[in-house]
Amino acid sequence: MLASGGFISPGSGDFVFKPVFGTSILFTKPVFQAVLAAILVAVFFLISSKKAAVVPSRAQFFGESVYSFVKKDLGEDIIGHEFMKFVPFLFTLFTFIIVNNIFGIVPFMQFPTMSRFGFPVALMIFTYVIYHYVGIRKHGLGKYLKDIAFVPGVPKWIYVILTPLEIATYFIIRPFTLAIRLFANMFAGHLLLLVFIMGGDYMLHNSMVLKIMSPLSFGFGIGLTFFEFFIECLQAYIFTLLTALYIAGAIADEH
Amino acid sequence: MTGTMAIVGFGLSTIGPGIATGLVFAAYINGVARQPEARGILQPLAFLGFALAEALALLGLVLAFVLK
Amino acid sequence: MSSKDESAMFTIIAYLLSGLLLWGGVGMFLDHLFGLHFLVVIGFLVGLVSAMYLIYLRFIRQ
Repeated sequence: MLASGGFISPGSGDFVFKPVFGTSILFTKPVFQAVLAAILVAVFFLISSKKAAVVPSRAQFFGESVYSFVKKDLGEDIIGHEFMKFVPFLFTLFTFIIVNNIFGIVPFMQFPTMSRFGFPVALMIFTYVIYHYVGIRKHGLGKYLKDIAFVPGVPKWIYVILTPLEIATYFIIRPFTLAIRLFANMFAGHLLLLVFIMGGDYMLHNSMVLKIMSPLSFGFGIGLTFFEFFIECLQAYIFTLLTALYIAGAIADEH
Repeated sequence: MTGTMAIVGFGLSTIGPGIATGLVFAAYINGVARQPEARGILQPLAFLGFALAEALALLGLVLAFVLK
Repeated sequence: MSSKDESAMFTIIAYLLSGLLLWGGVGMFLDHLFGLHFLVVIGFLVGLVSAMYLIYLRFIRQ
């Protein structure tokens, strides 16, 4: 739009980082953030649960309320009576994703780790393996596949069209939409913040009319930061909710 | 600026299904809240409306990538 | 909203998307193979209709 004035709009290039040292792709900013998030989560919950008391400290209260939220709302209400086995996995997933997402609005980091597609895919692979594994162990391989692939009560020739669709849905599309939903929300949110902040910065160094307009852009940027915080919490919840729903669907008696 | 108009078209085509999905589930929640025993009747209708509305949005998504 | 409703919502989206991608992709591949242009549209329609039928079978029929 302002190509003549030289405004470089943010794009997918802003999500590519140079390695901090060396040349390996393993030493870039998102990887360090993911490791930091894992350490933060582990240390916080170790400390807050170590000195567990009847009258809880503030940290213990916070940790326990997060844990009971995951256990009750995501485990018990959705998976049913076998939920206790899956609570550690769901809890780890939820806290890890939420800390990584909130890095997107923490000053001096300001990059949501999950806006690199590899990280949601890695988490998706865990979910994928676990829900198929528990489904196969519960029903046996043959019955599990038969439940997925063949809808009861239709003429035989229709299976030619429906069975590939079911297989594609359960084994490819559903896990990938899980990863893409998290990735795309983080990517788009970060891009939106970049557009407003960089646009405001550009207008501040331009003609008088644009200088007057630039606080508006910065104001929108700040407002959207709070909105982004909401989205980040929501997406962590959605990812964990869908994981719980997939596990519940795999171990349910009938599909 | 670079890019294709197809993506703008996809953006426009999501407005309708977005509103439609909101209306479908608003009516469903209203109905179940007023009369909880009617859930069995309302649930399939809500899913039917949701699927029909969502089909248009996903058709827009796929066509935006296919049409050059 | 019970957990069955939530699960059904996300599964409906997955069915529609995979119907469009799978049969539309098959149509596109056949177009490419035979040098035609209209099979992709037929593929989309078949995918959409079969996905809707599957949703009817799974969630709407009691």
